[in-house]
Amino acid sequence: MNEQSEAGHPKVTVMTWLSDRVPMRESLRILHEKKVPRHRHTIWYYFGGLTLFFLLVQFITGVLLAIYYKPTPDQAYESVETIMYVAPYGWLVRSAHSWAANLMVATMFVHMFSAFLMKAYRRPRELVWVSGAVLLFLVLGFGFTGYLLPWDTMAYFATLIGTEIPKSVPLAGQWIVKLLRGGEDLGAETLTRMYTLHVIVLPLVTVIVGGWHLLLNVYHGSSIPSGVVEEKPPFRFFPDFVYRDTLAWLAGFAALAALATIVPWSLGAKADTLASAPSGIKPEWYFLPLFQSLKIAPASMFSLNGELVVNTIVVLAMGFWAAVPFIDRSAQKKLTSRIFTIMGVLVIAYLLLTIWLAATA
Amino acid sequence: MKRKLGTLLKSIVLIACMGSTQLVGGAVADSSIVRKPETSAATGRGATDQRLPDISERTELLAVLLVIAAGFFIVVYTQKEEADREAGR
Repeated sequence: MNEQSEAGHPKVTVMTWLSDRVPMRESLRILHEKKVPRHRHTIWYYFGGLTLFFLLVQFITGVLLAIYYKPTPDQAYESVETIMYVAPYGWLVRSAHSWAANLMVATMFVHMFSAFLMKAYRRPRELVWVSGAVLLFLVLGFGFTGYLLPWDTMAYFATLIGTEIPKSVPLAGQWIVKLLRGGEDLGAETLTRMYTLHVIVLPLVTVIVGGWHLLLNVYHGSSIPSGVVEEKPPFRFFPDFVYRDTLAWLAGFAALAALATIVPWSLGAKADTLASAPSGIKPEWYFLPLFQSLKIAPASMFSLNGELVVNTIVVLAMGFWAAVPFIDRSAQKKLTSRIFTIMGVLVIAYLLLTIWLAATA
Repeated sequence: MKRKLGTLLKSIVLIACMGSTQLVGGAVADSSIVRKPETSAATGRGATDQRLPDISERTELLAVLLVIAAGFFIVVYTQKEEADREAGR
């Protein structure tokens, strides 16, 4: 019921106007009732929110970049030059976009491994984990498709090498390469494909899967690790946890602003598609574990192509990772499931080691 | 009064922490993982771009961004403290 104004008319505020049309109070009540547990591992809950923050930065800066960007080999590089040197604060927007992408992958890895080690995938949160795994693949897809867009030397040759990886797949290898490139060679068709995937397909799927991930999270609430005792009464999601999350977002904003201004993202020389690949071509840091694994693999393993063996192991490992809630039966019984904890630690160690080896090689 | 002073002091400490992210940012950028210095000669990436605004101009811009962030930080932090007090924390 609306309040009465002094003249006797119902007093209509923005809140009351909206409440008559949208279930505002009910939505707020759900957020008030949602609780966030407090224990010694609560700090890890903030990394999901930070990942969302960097994703939002990606969307906003991506839209601004799309205003100027032209996805053709003749114009792509020049349009990025316009963004960098002509458009007001264009360099800052591009830097923020690139740095936020890297920070998003980093916070997402922290979020994923903390969820893994806390066994947050236990019943009934299996689908929260699976949707998170899908989001991981989508974010890596963003990184891969966005890398070519500046059309500079590094972008061109790294994508050339990256799109060659599926070549070792028996029967379908050539077909997959053609599908990725839009032909035999990397050219205009590849750029159009990568651009379409980067700005239309992946964002659309990410919004759907990400929305589902968040919805399930609101429904189930945050998981408390097995054997951990809640030390204090839980936070209300709104406003208590939202305030703390906002402070984390502001810290993320400060870190992003520092990186984007002090170390602006550079643009290399325009890609010469007729030249041979220069030395030192490497993918982004989050693809370095795959890059390094392919590099150290022998040409032949178990009388099979070494590259094929590595690719098969990676695909199987990713499938295993996504299906962990259905494999780890101990965690489902709220046991410690030490073997999966050791496995998680070994995966982290392998990723860090390969990144370090590839980066310093 | 004592409580307000405490909140102010905490805010100042937190802003100082935020300012230090500038230093952390610089340190991360200097690490070999993100800078790819070995590729700069071959690809032209990694070197400081002379056509961008110079470092002093960029630092000024960073200061403005951090002040804006700090302003929001104080507002949200004060609200959080208020909510905590109401909840008896």
